[in-house]
Amino acid sequence: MSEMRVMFTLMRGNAVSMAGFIIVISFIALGIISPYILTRPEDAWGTAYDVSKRYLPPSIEHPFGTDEYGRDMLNRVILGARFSLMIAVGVVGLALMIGIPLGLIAGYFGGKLGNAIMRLTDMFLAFPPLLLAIALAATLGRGLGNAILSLAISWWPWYTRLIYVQVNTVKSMPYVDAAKVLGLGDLKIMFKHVLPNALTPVMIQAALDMGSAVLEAAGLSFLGIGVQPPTPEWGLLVSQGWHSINVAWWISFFPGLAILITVLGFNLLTDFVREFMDPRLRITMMAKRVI
Amino acid sequence: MPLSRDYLMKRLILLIFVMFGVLIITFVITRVIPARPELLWAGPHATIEQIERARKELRLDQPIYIQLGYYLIDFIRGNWGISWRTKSSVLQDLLNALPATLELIILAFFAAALLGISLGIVAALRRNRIIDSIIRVFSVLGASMPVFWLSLIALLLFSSWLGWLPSSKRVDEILVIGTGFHPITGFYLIDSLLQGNLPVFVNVLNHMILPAAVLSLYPMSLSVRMTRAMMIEVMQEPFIRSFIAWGLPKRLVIYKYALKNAIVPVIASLGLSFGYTIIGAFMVELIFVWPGIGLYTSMALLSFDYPAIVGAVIIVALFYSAINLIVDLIHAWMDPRVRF
Amino acid sequence: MMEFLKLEDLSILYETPFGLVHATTGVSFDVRRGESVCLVGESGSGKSTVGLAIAMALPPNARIRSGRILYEGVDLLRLSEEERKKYSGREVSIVFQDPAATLNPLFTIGEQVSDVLMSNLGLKKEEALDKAKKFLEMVGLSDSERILRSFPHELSGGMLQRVNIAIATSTEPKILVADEPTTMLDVMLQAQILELFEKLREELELTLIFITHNLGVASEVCDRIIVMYAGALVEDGPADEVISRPMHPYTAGLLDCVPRAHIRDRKLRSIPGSLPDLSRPLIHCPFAERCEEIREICMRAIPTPVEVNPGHRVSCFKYMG
Repeated sequence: MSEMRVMFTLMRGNAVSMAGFIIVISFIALGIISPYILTRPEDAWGTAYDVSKRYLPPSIEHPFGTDEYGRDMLNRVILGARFSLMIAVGVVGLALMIGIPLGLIAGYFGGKLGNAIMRLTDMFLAFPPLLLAIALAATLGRGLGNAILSLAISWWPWYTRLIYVQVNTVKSMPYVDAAKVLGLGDLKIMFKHVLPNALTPVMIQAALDMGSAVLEAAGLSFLGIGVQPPTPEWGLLVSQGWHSINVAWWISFFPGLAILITVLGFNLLTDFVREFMDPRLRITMMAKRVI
Repeated sequence: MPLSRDYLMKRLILLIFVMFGVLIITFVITRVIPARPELLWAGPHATIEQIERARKELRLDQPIYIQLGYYLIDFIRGNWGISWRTKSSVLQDLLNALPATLELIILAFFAAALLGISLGIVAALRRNRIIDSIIRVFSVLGASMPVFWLSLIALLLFSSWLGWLPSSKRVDEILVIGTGFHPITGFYLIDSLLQGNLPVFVNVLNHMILPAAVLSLYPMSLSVRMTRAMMIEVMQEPFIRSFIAWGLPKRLVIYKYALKNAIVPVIASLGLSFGYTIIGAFMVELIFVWPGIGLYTSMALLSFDYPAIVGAVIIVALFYSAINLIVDLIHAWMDPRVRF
Repeated sequence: MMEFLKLEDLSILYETPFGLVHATTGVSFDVRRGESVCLVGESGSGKSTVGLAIAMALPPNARIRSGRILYEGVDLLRLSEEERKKYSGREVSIVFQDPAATLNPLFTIGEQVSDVLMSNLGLKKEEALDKAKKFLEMVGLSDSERILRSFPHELSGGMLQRVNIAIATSTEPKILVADEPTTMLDVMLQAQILELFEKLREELELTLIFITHNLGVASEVCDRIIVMYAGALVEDGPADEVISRPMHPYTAGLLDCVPRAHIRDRKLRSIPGSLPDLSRPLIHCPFAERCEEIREICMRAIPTPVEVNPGHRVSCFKYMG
């Protein structure tokens, strides 16, 4: 955990990573508090429409303009953060819940069971990203919950593989042998020694993956099989602005920009964490602060 | 550095298993998971008779393993169902749409890989200079951009506002009729050259620029980032110093040796990159009305055309597996340590 | 008569993210043609840095603070890119410590050796491979055809080190620097490789600069031993003299540390203290704090080498009157 403190200290010295961190924190904060800071909640939630205010370009009163139902886009985009956050956390969380136990068992016990699990993982990974989610969403039906489920089912294999490799590495560490010699039972070894060490890289990866989850969920919504109207999820907002793109570019533009900035934040943070994890590059980072 | 026949055979057999796995998974998703698969299969506007017919087609009153058996047989015999939207065979629809998508994806992907790797090398060799920063900014933005949003923006900018490029389809009808162009392979670029039809060739290229450029941005950004990182890492390797100490010229050390070590992992990751390209094509084809598999599938999704969706998923997954095999073989060819 | 190889007042430092490291300070010695000199010292003594400097294989963060390395009158440290190509690999070559790390895993041995020969000697590929085969056989690898077709990961550590030695000597350099070539090998292999160096030295009339931390190895391989400590040259003399009658307190301490099984009831000796801080330039004798025979002057000035016996120099105030 002191590693985290070192990481944060280093991050403060690096403007780009700091920007990424701020973006991510803002996204999470916005996702949590957005329902409470809306100036026009009826617009955001989609319960109101005012035909007299359709297709208004960006102005002081409506910084992001209005859509075809006269709804204020700024409010809609802000509320959209909440749904993106929900999806990101839901997808990653569910994928972890499925993937980690499978990877743990496969890695620690190995043998026929382990092999079978890894073969299953390979079979799932034979699909390009999102394709499985599309098939599942088409089968299970549309909507937020099904979108999260579909994405999670297409995602868990990545975590299983990651944990499998981690567990295998940790398994051959001397302290595991020591624990065995001391007579600790398998389950106990697994939970107390192997799991914490194997888990860290996976958790970090998962946290950073939230950006990709937002991107993929937006894609699903754009294709019409994710979140459904009037929910203001960013991908859906972009698709809603599509047919009026020539007269009202702002309807698609701002939600898409929100996706871009959010994913950018996660990418910058990922870059930083990756450099931090690499011992050689970390030394350069630390030295710049020491001197 | 030849690959052994054993290794090739092993990989081919593995591919067969993977494809089998794909079929099993799609079977589970489309027949086992839904409570009433025949409803999905017949479509939202089906009559009772059509639903009953679907029940018989899918052999839903039989035990699961028999269903699976027929599923596989149907697959092999090309009986992939009828798209209720187009009223024709799903397999036929897909095969018709395939060349358009392939043309687009291949162009986009190779542009992405070649440009991406080149830019990555430039950035690595001129590390921390201005050009490096520019390339890094460009590539991190490219890796964060939703492709559907970019498509819309590009369409708006280059087609609607500037009028430089066309906004949809593969070629202008007028030109096709006027010059008597007819498709042979389905790859319009090749076909137009084969017929010596230069105006159509240029026109097709014109139509391709925007969708291909937009599609290539994401995989290109991934390639740039990875190549740059790998190149920097490889330059720190001990053998670089020993080669220079042994008198090899710097140019040889970088462009023959270091480059290969850096590129091998990048090439290994191209399979996944290609996967992203394929999915990106779904959205790009939809927005640019490009008559390929992506458009077909997106329309199928919008109209709840289940057989078409399933057929598209299967064909794309199988294609992706085949591509991955090729990438793996190239990887093994380049890196002798991988061949077990 | 011009000396064959002459190091004058060589001071090299490294720029690291944590600051400067003064790897060597004022190192000077001459080497005659055909001699074999061992640079001996512990980690941080600067011995590798000297060897790398001679081979023009210093890492990119090395800076020459002062000094020259004169090879037949030419200063190797101040050559242009063009001129450098004539010397590195051709006149001076080097064998590194880790045999696997110095080769590229993606290319065959043959490809890499032939590139070295083609670049340095201007040979065509055919000729280069023939020469490579000859040298592989010379280092004891009779299966040379197969080796040329193999990849580094297919060969064992011992074979790889022989390959390295073959590559380094195939250009028939006049000077060969060997940077701890046996440290990563087991004792049996070590003996074989040392024999190999002996043989090559004779057949190719090599001038050998052998770097090691092991005094035993040094005494076997070399005519002459140069002991280094904290970047400074502390003793330089004929191998058997340095071993049997060490002049510098550090050398004596080192020899004392060697466990001797045949002498019982003798405690294992070690030299108390540790290396001085190399981030600052030396201002007094580097060994002073750990020396049992320390005097006042030792903390105030840096001793320079004095010839105590013919061909035997020491840097110690004990001998400076």
